[in-house]
Amino acid sequence: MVCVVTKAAPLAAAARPEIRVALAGNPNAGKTTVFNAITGARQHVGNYPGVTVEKKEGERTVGDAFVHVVDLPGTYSLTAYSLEEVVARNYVIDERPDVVIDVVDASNLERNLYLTTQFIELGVSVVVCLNMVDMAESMGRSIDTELLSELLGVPVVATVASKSEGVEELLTVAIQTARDGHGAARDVRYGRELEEHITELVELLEGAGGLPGVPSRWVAIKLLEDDQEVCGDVARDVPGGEELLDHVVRIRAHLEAVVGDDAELALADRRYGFINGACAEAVTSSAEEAVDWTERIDRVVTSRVLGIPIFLILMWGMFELVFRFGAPPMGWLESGFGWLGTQAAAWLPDGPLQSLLVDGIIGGVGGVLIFVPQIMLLFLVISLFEDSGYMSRAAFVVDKLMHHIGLHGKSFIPMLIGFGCTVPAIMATRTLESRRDRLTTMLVTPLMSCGARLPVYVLLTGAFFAPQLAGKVIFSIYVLGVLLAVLMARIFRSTILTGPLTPFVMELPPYRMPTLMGTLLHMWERAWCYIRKAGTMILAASVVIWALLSYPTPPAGFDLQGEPEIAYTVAGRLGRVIEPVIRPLGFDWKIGISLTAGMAAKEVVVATLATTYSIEESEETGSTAVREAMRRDPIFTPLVAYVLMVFVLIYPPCLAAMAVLWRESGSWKWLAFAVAYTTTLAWLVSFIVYQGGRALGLG
Amino acid sequence: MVDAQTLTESLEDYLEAIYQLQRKNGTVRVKEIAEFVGVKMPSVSSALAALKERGFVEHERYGQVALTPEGRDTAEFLCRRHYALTAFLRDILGLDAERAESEACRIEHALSAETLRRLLMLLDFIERCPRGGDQWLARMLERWENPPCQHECAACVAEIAAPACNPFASQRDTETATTLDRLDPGQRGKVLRLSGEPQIRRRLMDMGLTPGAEIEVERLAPLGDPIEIEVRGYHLSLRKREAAGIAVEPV
Repeated sequence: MVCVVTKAAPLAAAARPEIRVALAGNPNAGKTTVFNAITGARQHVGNYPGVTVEKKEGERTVGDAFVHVVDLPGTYSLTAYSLEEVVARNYVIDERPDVVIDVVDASNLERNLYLTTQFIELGVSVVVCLNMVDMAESMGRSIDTELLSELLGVPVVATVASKSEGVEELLTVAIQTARDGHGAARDVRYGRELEEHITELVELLEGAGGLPGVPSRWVAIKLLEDDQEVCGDVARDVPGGEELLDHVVRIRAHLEAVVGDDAELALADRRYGFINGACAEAVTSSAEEAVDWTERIDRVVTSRVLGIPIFLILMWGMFELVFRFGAPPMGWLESGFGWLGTQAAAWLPDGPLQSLLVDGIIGGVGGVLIFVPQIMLLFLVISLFEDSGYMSRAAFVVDKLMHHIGLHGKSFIPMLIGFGCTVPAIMATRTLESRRDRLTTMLVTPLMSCGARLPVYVLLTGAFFAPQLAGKVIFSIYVLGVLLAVLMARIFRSTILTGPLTPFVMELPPYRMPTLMGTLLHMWERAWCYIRKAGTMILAASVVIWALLSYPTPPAGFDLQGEPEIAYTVAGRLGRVIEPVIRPLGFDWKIGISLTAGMAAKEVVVATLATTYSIEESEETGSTAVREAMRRDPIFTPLVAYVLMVFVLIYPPCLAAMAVLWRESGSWKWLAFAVAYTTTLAWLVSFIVYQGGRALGLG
Repeated sequence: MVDAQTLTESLEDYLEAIYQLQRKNGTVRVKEIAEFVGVKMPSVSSALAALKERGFVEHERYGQVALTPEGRDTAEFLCRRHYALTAFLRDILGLDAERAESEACRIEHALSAETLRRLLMLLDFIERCPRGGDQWLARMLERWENPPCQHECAACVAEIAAPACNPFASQRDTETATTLDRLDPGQRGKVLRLSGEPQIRRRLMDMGLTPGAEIEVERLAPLGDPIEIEVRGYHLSLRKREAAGIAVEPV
């Protein structure tokens, strides 16, 4: 599932020595900026094998060295706390990069060095990239890189990656370190009591052969931390591992009694103690601190009074930008493909080939590309929010609301985007860190009524409800969607996606100016991934749906008995087959066909209704004629029209959304589940509304 | 910090005893004090009268004994001093715990606030020195056991047993201890302990919320939850639910 953004020509890799660099660091430390500064546009984006954690790779030639850079997920630590941490750790252990560049935020040194100490413990060659030194200086802090390097025992290079300052030197030092290694890095010493046990465990491990590829000291420390991954490895790979683990349990109990805290806390405390000491020596703070802009902005942006209004205004701005400014280019694409279709239709003789090309392929490609402007604009805004630091403030402001439905504050944005279009909304779930939160949000986002469903509501309310009621009727459908999303989120979190609530322990990084290159790359990356990953499936499925709606054609002279041609096709027959199932909802086979076709895209429901009512499509008169025809049909009552709206709201979103859901969840199973649950839910709710309505005499 | 110089050694011991008992049981009776210090009831009564006169305790005849706020501050200082000294004797000089404790009892009364401060700094410096104060200390202990010279001191040094060090228990709860979610915006505090689910504790530790870390509550979110704090020079947000698992001592 590798999606290539810009494929660089393989730079005669075999001829030159390749140096494999892993780029690590805390989130918000400017890791992506460093990555971009090193590799430029020569990047590939894909996933780590077996997980949906994104993996970026890039390359670069420096002198005679071919440097291959892998961007590890941003983490605060190398414990097994999150998937990202496990991925980053396992990459370093399994792939053994020649050097790890640890990007450290100079303005937030203490917490950032915490990760550094863990890389050092892991026994890999580390180069510290002391990024954003300009920020630290503006805060009145100057850092003695030489002294810091001496204290940590690893090379330290100061950079300002957003201006590409120091990046060349960083690469030179990294290459040198990769070739020659560095001197003995300074391990954190954990105090006598802990060290005694660490030494004891190291001896036991060494005696048993240890774990391959990692220092026994590291393993011993992880055992004391009760790291489940490492415990599992030891039990499996070390002879006598089980007894060793029993011994560790005893040591942990002993430590708890002596130390008064559990071993993890004591170890974390010691690491921070070590860092604290290093910072105390290497950092000098001038007395006068510059104006703290972040604090000033936050006083307004997250204040009790203005926090929510500002959040709402920004969300409204995002919505407007994506869907209003996205509309014209979408229109251009649409008419462009329309023109292309007409041209093709003019050049090709009538027949199946023309139909396949025009309705199937050109229509399908258009259906894929039409979302690109929206996706690019959305990720423009998301990128600006994330890079500037506002995203975490937004989550901070609305977390309480989202917390009630068992989700994280950041889930708000995808759900909001869902009102515009489900496709970018599902892609926006990437901002969520926890997989459970991502899946829950992905599963309920389709219930946010997207823009494509509106034409269906408008057509039906126009035909069956008084104009003064129409607005209220449509609004009630939107509200129903939100309520169902809340309900389903709660149900999912307490059934299939159970687990502890994601703790909301989130850094609020200082506000920063986003970089142009970072933002553009991000937009491009997302759009291209969408085209590559979801596009191919949407295209294939569009052709299939086209075939279902077109074949088989009735033989010449066949008496359709007044029924439209579509009734003879597979989709038409399917409509008949499912009629008994949808009968309790008040639907007949004609509605069945429209709903089947609507799986492709919700707006197709309108077009198909028109076809089944044998109305020639012609812009203006078309919709009025369809309304008239529907009103004459005895099956249609206002109640049935309302139930149909309910069904359209809930049942599986369009092909594009399903393709994206499949890609983003990383599994067919989740797609199948989403289709199954939305269909069932749509049927159930429609059934309740229809039968309830009839019982109340509304039929 | 209250100047403890006005107290005699024995009154200091009584004050410490009352403080410890109050923390342990909540209420303190004369009989308990007598048992704790190891004296007879009448001696306690006269000591209490002296402490009451200085405004350190409230004592109803035949009733319960309670420390005044002033008494509590003084007692806390005494306890801290006692602990620091014990830690120094045990962890740095390598005396065994029992001996460290008993010698600390005798030395402590002579220590001024300034000496205590310096002693704490020395402890901190050695424990946390980035150049490996710990290794340095280990070498020194070795040297004591195998002295390079054969002077007479070797005989007493040989007595030194392997120390049971307990540098982490320094964060003790006091009566003012509370949890992070109860601090108001603008209030500062020091982390004492973390409790709660292991996953969350682990994350909090990784983010720098370890015992001793200083924090300041910056603000509450507009809806009252989560909260934003400053710790180790950066800003962190967490829900009140998570903050409730963090015991802090307001500063």
